[in-house]
Amino acid sequence: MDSGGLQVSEVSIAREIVAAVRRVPGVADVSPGRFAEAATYGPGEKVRGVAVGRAAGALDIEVHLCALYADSLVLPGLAARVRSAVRQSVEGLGAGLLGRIDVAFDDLRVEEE
Amino acid sequence: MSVFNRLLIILLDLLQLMAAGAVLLTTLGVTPPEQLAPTPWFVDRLVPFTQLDPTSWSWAVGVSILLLLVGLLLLFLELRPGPRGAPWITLKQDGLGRVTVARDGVRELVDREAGRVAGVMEVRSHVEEDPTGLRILCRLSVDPTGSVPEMTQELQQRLKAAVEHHLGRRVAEVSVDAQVAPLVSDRRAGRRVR
Repeated sequence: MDSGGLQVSEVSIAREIVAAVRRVPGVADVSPGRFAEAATYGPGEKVRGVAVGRAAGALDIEVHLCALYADSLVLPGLAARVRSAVRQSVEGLGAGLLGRIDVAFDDLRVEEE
Repeated sequence: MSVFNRLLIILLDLLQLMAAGAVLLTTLGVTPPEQLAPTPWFVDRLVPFTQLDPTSWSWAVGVSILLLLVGLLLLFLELRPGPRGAPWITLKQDGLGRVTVARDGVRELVDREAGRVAGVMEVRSHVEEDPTGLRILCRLSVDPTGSVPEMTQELQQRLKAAVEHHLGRRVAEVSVDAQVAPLVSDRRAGRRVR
């Protein structure tokens, strides 16, 4: 998609999304995928945890992550915050229209005391 | 079973089906070995089946059919979908996309919550999904000095509340199967909580 005449690559979008998702409170980290690898591929580069694709002119994004387990954890609420972070990072890049944002919680991580 | 082992079994099963089928067709005289076999080596193995005496012919046909049936059964068992369905649970699906959680992650959450109940020694849980909500099946090894009815009631309430809070999905049923003896190992080790 165009941004000031420059096309933002899927792998650049994926990198931004990974950084944004990692900053969301309640997210332990992105996950490479539990059942199949979730990644975005670029020339000589692979970004794990986020799959970015284009369909019908819109960006479809799949985020795989590991949530921090706590008594206050509410997965649908965390998914909404993750989606919001994804939306902001894509809009910040001017990467184009957003389609689906799928969020997959592959694991729950407990912080050792 | 790992994916590699499963693929290996399917491959060997297909080879067995091909060999048994080729032997059966050759023995019955339906197709000459030269048309069935991809290599001269295989043709040499099939040719003797064209010259069998009546007793050997009956055995060859019988064993081939048996091997074909066993091979087809094994292939069916290997290729059928698993009894537990999808390995994830859908929490939400709307126009924005889908939110899922790994079924094993939910199971670990259930095991952790169950382990917080006093008197629970070991837990092995299973989570199923149907249109009415989630169904949690929990097998426990419990402390024999405690009251099992009180313990299971507390566990049911706690698991229902915790899973509904964390996942935002309705829990339709929490089944508890408690025993004093340690859980017998079957498909996986139980989680020890004490």
